[in-house]
Amino acid sequence: MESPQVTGDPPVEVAGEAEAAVVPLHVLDTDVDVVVSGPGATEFARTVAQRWHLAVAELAGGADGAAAGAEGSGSEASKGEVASVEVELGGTAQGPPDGVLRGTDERAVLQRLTQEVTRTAIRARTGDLLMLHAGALAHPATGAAVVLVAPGGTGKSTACRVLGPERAYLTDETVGIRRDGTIAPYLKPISTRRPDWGGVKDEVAPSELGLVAPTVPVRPAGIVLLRREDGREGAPEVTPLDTLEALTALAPESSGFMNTERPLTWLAELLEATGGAVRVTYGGAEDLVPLVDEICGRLS
Amino acid sequence: MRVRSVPVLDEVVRDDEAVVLVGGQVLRVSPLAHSLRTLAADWTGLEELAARLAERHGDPGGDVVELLRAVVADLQGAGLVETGE
Repeated sequence: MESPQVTGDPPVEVAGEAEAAVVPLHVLDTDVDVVVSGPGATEFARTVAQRWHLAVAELAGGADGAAAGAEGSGSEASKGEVASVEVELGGTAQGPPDGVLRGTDERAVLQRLTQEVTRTAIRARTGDLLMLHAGALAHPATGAAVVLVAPGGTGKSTACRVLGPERAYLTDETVGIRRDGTIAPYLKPISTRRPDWGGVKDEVAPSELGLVAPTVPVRPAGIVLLRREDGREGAPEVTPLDTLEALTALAPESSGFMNTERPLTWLAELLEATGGAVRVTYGGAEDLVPLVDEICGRLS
Repeated sequence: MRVRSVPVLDEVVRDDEAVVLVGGQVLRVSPLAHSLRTLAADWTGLEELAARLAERHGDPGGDVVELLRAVVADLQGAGLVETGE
């Protein structure tokens, strides 16, 4: 099949005579092709590539290579098969689920695409990575990363949006930690909920928010469980958790945990290597600045 | 009644307590339950187990064997021990 490169930035591959296009992503050490078909496929693929610009395969290799370190453990983990997510524009969901995303509303399809790319990458990396439901930001020079753990809709994306511009952005959704202790970036768009869109999240390109990919190897320097309380004022309350408390608090916020070899031992070693986890109760993301500064200021 | 610990997929022990992965669940195991699981690595009679736990954690008073029977039932429900005659 002909897959000529469309000129312009970012790269999108056009496939065949019927309108179809492919956006090659590299996320969580996994190659995931977004295969778009139907009316407007090329334009939609360009939008996907623009929103996912830090994760487009040929560009994401730099961030991954840096994060993997000189040994290149990231590239080693990415040598497997290419997974794919199919999008059919203009289609309607009929019959039994076949794994193809169909729809006509761009925002809704983009949101579901993000969810499906996340599921696909997590499925591919289960057993290889210790994956936490978390956002992460790092010191741009040392790679010391703060891992911000929270259930969906409770502050990860907001924290990345508010605290990210002065740091390297790693993800607002899933932190994947390799066996060598480095983090596999998941450089997805920032998912932002707008009240006037009936619960549909807007997938915002990281560049629009001043977020950049890491350029050095990145390792967790501290793990923070976020507990946002709307309307809370004053300094955040920071509570250190011992290893066992942290394990029971973090396990429910993990992915693929039960299918990972000795995940509790792995997580306990990570916790104790990074000084343990803390739970922080706070009102607004800006209140987290001192804590995030302190963690990202640790030597990695 | 005899009691024996069930192997778990993963276990982290700190001080006298543990967190274990068993049956698709992550469970925190109290010092008493952790001792029970350690002492019952092989099939152990309830009376002997009660005596050894009282030695380690103090005598709770009352019918120790009956108290232990309730603890064992809880741990069995959580998939941490098995029982036999």
